[in-house]
Amino acid sequence: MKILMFGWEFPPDISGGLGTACYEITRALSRHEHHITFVVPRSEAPRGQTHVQLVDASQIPVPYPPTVQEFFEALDLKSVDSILRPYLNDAEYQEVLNQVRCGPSEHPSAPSLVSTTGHYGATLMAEVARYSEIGETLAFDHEFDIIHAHDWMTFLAAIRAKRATGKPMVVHVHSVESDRSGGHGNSGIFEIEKMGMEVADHVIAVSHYTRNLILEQYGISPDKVSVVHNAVSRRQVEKAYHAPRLHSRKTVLFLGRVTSQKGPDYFIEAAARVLEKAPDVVFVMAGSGDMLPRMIERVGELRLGRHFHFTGFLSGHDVERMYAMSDLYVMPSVSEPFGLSPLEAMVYDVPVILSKQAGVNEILPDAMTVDFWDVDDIANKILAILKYPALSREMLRTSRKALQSIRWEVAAERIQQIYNKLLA
Amino acid sequence: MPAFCITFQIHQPCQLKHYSFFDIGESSVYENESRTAESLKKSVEDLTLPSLQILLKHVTDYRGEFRIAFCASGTFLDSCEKLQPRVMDVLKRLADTGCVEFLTTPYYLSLSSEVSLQEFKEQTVLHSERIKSLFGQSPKVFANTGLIYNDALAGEIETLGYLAILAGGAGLLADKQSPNYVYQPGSCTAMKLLINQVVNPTDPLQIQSRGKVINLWLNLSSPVGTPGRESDMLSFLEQLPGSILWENKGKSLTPSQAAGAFKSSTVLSSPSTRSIIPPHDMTPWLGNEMQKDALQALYLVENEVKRLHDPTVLRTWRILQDADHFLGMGTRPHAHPAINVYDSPYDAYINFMNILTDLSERVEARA
Repeated sequence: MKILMFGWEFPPDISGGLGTACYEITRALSRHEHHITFVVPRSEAPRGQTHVQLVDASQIPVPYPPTVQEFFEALDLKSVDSILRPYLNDAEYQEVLNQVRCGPSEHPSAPSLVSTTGHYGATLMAEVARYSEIGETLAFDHEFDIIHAHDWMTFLAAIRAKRATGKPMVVHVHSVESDRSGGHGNSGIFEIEKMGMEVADHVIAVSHYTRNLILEQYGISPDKVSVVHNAVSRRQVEKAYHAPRLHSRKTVLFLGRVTSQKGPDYFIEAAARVLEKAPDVVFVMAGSGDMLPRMIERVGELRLGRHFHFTGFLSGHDVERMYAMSDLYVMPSVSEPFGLSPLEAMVYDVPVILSKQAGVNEILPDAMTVDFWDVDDIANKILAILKYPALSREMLRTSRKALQSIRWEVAAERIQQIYNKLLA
Repeated sequence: MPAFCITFQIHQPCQLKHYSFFDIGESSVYENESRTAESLKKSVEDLTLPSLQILLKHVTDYRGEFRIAFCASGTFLDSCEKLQPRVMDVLKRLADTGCVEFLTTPYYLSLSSEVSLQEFKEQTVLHSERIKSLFGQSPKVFANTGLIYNDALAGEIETLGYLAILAGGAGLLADKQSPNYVYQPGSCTAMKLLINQVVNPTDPLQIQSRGKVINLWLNLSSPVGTPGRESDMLSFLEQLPGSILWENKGKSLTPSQAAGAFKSSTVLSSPSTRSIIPPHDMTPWLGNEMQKDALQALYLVENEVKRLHDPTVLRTWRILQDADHFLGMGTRPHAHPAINVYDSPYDAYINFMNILTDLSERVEARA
């Protein structure tokens, strides 16, 4: 089967779970002898913290060793010149646009599918619309049986490809606008999401939690919305067990975008409570985002600076090292359609405390969960895990057991079934 | 037709208060008394009291033809004396019929037999004395918490002068052995072993009926989270004497009568520990690291607690021994959802350990 897939980012330069999910899904699908053309936006903007750089298939570096060579042969990675990047809002788009316009342009430009270099849209929406042109271009130049688009920025491109060819289209929803914005989302984005889901022949949601939002907020017919949970890769599982702790003090980790969706403020308030009882604990906030400055200020106000580390955005080996150094991972998300990072933490034998709002709980029935707003309960649980070793031993036992059945192969299998149904 | 020997277990644990890490050193109140009272009231009104009333009527009506036994924990009797005196009245009236036997069990329905022989014996004696003073009879038959059983334990019980001990059949009996004979424990010379079957009130015919005496074990406390089970039990009890005495032409015995009426058919040896709760060993209470850790930590302070000679502290420590606290810490596949009053087994463990940490610190401070 030939699949035309629209994504936002691809390893090794990824800013969130979406890139990992796309990589793993395509990898698992390629085992079933599917040929995938994977399309991602790229730009010549200077490489920064949230920058997405498209890497040529032959240059994929270290974390993905030669054994995956065959996979990359089956995968046709296409770059589209665009400064779109994941989780962007309009203000952030303007910032990126300015950077690109003012920044040095000595980067050699890769062959692009759409020759619009230097004509980025004036607004986020204009850029998304411009980007959608590639849908049509690709439709004429490439042969494919099915179209698969990940999250809203690619939906218009997928719709144009569908209109041009009449091929079935699947949209894969990793999050919806209300998740990312905390309820008061951008109505333009909402409309694109809604249109994408309506035009799509089938919608994949990463959790039942997300599926419910799709049914309730977007009014999509339940018949065409399926849940395919994310997973964690076996390579990581084998490699990571028993990674040595590098820190002698107990370390509690927050890792994710520092935005209101992820609840970093609750993490800090809980940390303050923990430090009242256990002043030797270290807290790490890894990630960047619009709330980061406010979070650093808050730590200062609370006079907790000497117990707190802000690492900024981490990628690749630094993420692995961070997990390996941690004794506990806390995810106090206000809204979390899925939440891949707890699974990654579990791979590194790090116990996790999860927000009850996280979709990943659907596949982790033994997870320790908290209400994100219940700072006292979060603190109570952090202290218990650090003070009663039997608790983390038991949590690790149950998480290792859970990880055995959480496989990308299962997700790919489900996706393949959906393809088959659409093509039948 | 074999005889029937029916034992009813009754227990309600003391419910622990939500006790955070931040309460350690701040509060020495561990029990949520109002929640204990509420669940006791619900269990008593929905199941225990109506059951006892039905049983009292049967025992009276059948004038010696229908006999039963009770295994009521000290925790339950204490709570009822204080909060549900009607239950005590009916139990006393049942005792007065002369057709009802009371068994001994560890007073606080603890797992002490697994950890501290000293504490186990103290709770056994305490319970036996309590039964004597309440109902005027000295128990002759012993039933451990969850019918936990092994050879060594049977040996200890024999030295305490009991005629018989109760156990469950799984793991004890060989494939073709029937539970419905009187056996001799591997470690004993005279004491008898009665193998009990759990009755499912909605499907009572599942019991094995070949043999001399069918020992049935029924729970008369309403577990949290299984609505609708109470009415099944009540209608089963309504028909109980009819079905066993008439349809099966059987007779009804108490456990000590059964132990006296039949010779041991053979010796049953069980060096490893068995119980009545699937998978019929200690895993429901001690299947994971949290449960093992909590139990070990609890008994680490035994000597210090006892050296204080403070009845309040001693009772507090013993309330924490309730096996239900450990069931609540069970993780899948051995989770026991019916018992769990917490969001998760982790919450159960954390709450318990926070309380135990506070208690231990207080006891050490006074030592």
